[in-house]
Amino acid sequence: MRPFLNLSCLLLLVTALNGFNGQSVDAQVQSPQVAPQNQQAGVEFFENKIRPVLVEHCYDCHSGEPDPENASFVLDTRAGIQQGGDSGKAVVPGNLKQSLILQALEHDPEFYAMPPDEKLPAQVIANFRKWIQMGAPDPRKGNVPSSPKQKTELAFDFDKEREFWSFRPLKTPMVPEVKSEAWSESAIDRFVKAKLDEKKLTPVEIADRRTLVRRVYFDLTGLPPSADDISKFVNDPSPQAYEHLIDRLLNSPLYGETWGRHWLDLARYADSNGLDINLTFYNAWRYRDYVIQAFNEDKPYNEFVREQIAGDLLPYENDDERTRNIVATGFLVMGAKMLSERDKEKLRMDVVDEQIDVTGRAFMGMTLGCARCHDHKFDPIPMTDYYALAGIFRSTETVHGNRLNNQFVSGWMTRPLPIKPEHAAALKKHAADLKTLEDKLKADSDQFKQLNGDTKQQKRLKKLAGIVVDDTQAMKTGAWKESVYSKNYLGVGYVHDMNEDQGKKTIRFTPDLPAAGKYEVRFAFAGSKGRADRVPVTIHSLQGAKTVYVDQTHPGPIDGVFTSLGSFEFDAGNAGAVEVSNKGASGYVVVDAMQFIPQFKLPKQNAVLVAKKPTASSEQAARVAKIKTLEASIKTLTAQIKTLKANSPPAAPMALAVGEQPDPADYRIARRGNIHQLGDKVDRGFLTIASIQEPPEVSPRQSGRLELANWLSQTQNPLTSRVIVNRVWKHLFGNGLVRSVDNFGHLGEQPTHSELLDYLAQQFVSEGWSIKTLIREIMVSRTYQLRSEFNAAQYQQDPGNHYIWRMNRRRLSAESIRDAVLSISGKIDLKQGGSSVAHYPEQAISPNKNAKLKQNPSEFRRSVYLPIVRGNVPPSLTVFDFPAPEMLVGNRPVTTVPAQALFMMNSPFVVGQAQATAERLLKDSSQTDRERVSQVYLACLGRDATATEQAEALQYIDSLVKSDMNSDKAAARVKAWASYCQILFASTEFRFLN
Amino acid sequence: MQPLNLSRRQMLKSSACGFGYLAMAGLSSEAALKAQSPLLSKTPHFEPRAKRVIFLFMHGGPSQVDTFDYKPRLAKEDGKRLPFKAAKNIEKSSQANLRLMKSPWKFKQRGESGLWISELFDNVADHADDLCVINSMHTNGQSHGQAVMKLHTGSDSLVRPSVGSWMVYGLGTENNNLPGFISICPSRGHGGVRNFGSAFLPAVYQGTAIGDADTAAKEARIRFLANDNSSESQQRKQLGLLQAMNERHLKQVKVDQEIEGVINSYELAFRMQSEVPTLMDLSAETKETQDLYGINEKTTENFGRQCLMARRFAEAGVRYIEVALGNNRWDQHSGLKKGHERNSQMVDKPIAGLLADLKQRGLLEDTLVVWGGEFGRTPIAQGTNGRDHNPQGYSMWLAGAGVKRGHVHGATDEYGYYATRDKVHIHDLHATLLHLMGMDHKRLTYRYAGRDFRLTDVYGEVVHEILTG
Repeated sequence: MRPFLNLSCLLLLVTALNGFNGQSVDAQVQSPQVAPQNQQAGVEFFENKIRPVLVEHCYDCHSGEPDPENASFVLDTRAGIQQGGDSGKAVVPGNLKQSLILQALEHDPEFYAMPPDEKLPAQVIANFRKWIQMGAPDPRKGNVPSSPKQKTELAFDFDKEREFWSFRPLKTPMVPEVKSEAWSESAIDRFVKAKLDEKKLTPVEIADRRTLVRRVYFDLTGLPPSADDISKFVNDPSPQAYEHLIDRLLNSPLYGETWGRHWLDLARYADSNGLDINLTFYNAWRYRDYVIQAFNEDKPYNEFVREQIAGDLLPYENDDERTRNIVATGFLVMGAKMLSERDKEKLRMDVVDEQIDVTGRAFMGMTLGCARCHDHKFDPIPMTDYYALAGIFRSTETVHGNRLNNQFVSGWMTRPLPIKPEHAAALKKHAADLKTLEDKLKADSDQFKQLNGDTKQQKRLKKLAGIVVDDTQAMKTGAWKESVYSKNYLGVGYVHDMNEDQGKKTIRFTPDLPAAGKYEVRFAFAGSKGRADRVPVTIHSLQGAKTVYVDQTHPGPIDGVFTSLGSFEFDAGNAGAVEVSNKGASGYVVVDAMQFIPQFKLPKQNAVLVAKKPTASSEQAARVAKIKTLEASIKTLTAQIKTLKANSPPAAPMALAVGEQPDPADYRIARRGNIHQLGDKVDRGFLTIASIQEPPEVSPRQSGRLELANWLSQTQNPLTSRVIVNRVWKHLFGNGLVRSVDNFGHLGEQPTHSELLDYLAQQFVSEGWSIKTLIREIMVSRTYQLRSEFNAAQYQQDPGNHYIWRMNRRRLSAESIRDAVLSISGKIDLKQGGSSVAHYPEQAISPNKNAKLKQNPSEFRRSVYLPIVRGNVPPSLTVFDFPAPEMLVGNRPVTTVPAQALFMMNSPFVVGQAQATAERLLKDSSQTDRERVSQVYLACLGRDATATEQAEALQYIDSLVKSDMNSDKAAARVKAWASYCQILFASTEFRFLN
Repeated sequence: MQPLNLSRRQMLKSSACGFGYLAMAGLSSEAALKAQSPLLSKTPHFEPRAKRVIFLFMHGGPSQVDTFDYKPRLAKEDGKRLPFKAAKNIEKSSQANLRLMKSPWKFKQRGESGLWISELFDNVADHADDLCVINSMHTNGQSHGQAVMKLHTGSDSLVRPSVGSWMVYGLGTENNNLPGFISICPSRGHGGVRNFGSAFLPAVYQGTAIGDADTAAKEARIRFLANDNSSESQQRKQLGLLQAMNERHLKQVKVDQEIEGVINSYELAFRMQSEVPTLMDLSAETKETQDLYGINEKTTENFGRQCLMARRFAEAGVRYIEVALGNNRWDQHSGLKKGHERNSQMVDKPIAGLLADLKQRGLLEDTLVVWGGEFGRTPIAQGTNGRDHNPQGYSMWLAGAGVKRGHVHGATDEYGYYATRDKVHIHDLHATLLHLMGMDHKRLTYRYAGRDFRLTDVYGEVVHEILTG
């Protein structure tokens, strides 16, 4: 601003113009640069060239009241056009650069394109430019209507918002008294019964032991009880039999595999990246195993939370702890990333957004994603909270490096895990040994090829005219990597600068020229995308040094290899040189050869130019002998390398994990989520609504993840404990006390038993955040042990069973159906942990290669260990609502679709396991068919077959055997039994849990 | 916003009148969803112009300036520099030396309408008067993965339900024995199953794949539709006992909608088992029809089969059918001439056959055919004989129900690079497709994670200019 100048101009204007056309003062104040005599011309220009365009193309949206969703400012008044919107001023008189309207009219890809459906003709845009240069004369009046957005900037009344049930500080509620003795034993039961009484509902009786044992087994281990397990429990005389059963199963490693899987749904666990560049996550399994172990060890939940957000920043006592801490942060890396996004800042912020989203929902049941573009419309989450978190995650390194040798394809962070010194030493020695052998092999192979001189590229090199200096003969400064990756090279290969140490590497070609004169210099390189676009090449000739710049992003125009650098005068001999440097290069610098083509007739050209071939027979013999030696050496070396590789020490373990950015910083509000439209800076921090105590201060030298982790796992955080307790309840009952388990905001559901929820949360925290203790407490309650039977009177009142008058009948999860089938067939492989995708290619699914994935070696392992490749999840899981592994899903939908029926009827898996089950049943020849039916009933349904069912089974099998004309009797029997077993697997009773 | 504590009866009532409530109520509508088949045919927002869509997906991005966007100036200035700034996906390094490259193919005006179509689509050109060409498409996503997912789901970086899933969610199915959304030979990469997935919509709305882009159409099957180990009569018998046991179970538990649902699903699956293979058996068609699609010629056999299958599914009442020329085939960064020629030879005749066949059966009246790739290609050369990706401006065409015939909408600049006039973003196309099917893209919502999601996010305008009056 130039107030003084403006003021003086103003006075002038006002005086001049008032007499001129009688306009009011406010009409002229904004046009200081226009000389009075031009004013009328300016206004005319506006009326003729500008106003009609604004009316026709802009007023539809940008007039009247500003609309924060669509058009946050108006263009129908002068004040409006000059004030502009949240990106800045639309028109700054006299200033083309600051007048954002021009950027919009030009459809600048970094900005808005206006009008959106059509770019105005160049002449029209030129008129706007001219008009702005004229000082944007504009006779329109009117004030800028206040934007509703400004009103909402009053933001939220957090104290009032904290009265909402989920944001309220946790308090221990009074446990109600109930009359029934049976319902008085546990606090849970008293809360539930009190509610039932209030709603005048009568609970059903508790289930029998047979029902309970199946329920408890599936809930805790994901597998059905065996016949033995059932009878042991049913016949256990101890009054504590039920508690003992629960304790025993909580200590089984199968528990962690089942409950860990629940968590993996939230962690959107997968073994590949998904989306477009579907790269294999070779290290994700460590995170999966970490989660399983955490549940099995009953790691306190607050620690579990802390480690997943900031494990790498936590103190540790030993390597094991350090390993777990690093691996845990895989939670933040697991998201599906659009690795090919060329706008890398957008990729980075998309990853940040995903991290904010999953952190918000998994731990706090808060949907924070909305606040990327505007304050949350329903929950007290201002945009500033979102960007406070964004600063934390943006200061965290997740996206890292490049993959697939492609500058456009980003990679992600992996971090080395601590290893024992002996292991490190062994690895080091192995690498050194390998390198020695490989170097030797390479040297020998190169020499062999040189002597043999028979590769395509070598032949091509030989055919070239003039004097050619190959990269192998050039003088290199700095590390140049040899490569034969691009096949379009000459000789034995080419070199590149690894796209690093720019300005520190050169390569100098010194030809031995046969005669003085003018030579055309041609530079050979395998040009392609991803190479440097401005490679400096300096020609040292008689004319002095001249530097030209070469674009290596495309193959050279001459024969697809050469680019001409021009013609230069050289002396005979080796006085001249050509030097390629990687100074200032962006992208890979590749160098193959330099060709010098004489532009004059050489005396005795052939004699000079054709390389001297060894002619003497002694030389020839030596050459042949040498070739032989080399051949033998190559063979030996190849064998040695193979042996060495076969005996290599285990690879250094790596983990999918985040790290700290070297330059942690606060971030700015991105207007409407557009990262190219940054606004005010926001201090890194946490959710205001859930900060009951003074939140920890973010260290300026760190990302703030550590503080976030501490804040999340604080006892006082009202969300963290409520959310997890509700999740546990959900897995045991089929529904949460809050049914929207991932949404504790205003759009989520209200808790049916808010006091019980608070009681459990409070209890959970005070018992040391122990999930096992919580599960046990819930399972021993009478509420959990209720039958799932129907009762018309209760159903009429509460069909959704919100008040828990019975146990919900639940469909088994995809994993349980598959694992149960495998355990009944006896094929199940209970091996724990480890990678499932080690044998996968780098791209788990490639967009245009036809290679199908190899057979899965973990075919019969528990479902939690199956490879979860995004886009190729095993059908046995997807068909029964296994969630898309790109998404956080706390409450899997339960659908009933024909695809499930088809899977049970026809899939090779079910057919094969039914066959295996039949074979298993028939193996014991001492059994009667009747006993076999009993056995398979018990295994599949956890109960004995009734007489009718016995008869029906035997009759079915018998009739199949009789009608089978193609097989011998034994085979026919297996087939018939298999058919019957398949029916049991497909039956509703098997698929549901009472 | 309506309160969520409606009674179940009210819920059912409102959901029967319009899925809007179901969509809105999110979790609360679960009970209602369970009580009735979620695939039940539903009433749209307004009178639909199209009953079904066949989307012919040209994976890789066919070049607009070589097919449906005639640019005489490009030919005239062949080899000259691009007179304006290239898009940001073109590397800065090469910005200085960008050369226009004319189309190697001749364009002709076709039909009464005089639409300009290149010789790559001589057969499709016979139907010029049925086409509604949009020459001003533009989209987000410079890479295939982004643009393919943008085209299929409206999002270039997040997992979202695909167009077909939204359609079936909104409209249900017309034929209970068939899936409502079928994808024939889809690509496995660039999002793969996500391109016909239902994301957060219930799984019943996901597309059913028939084979994949690596499978010959002749071999393409729906997974688990047949059991080689057992004959139909054996299976019928097996199902008989299974259902008897299930019914007994149901009787014992008295009321359980899920168990009831499972029992129904077995019946339905068994019917599908016989209906789908019959539908996919193209030998039931006359030789004349087969020839129309080019099934008896080597080059066109594969895509011809896909197109003919699509027609048969359309006829049988499938809502949304995608037919893909997959595996990124149109991606000619080099070898444009050979590549585009080969691709057009594979699809031109089958597509023309499909249009002719739909027309002669009267199906084009209520079927909308959509053709296009994830983006177009640059009018400037890449290397010597290639073109780079161009999301800035490209062509797609529609034909059939509800759209103008022999019509061109929008335009790119004189070289065919940027869409300039009457631009149609992919969100606009999605809004228009839903509109044609009788749905308001702003009202077709689903609540997930505390938000009401739309196919078009917060964008999209229906392109009324291409609709018939």
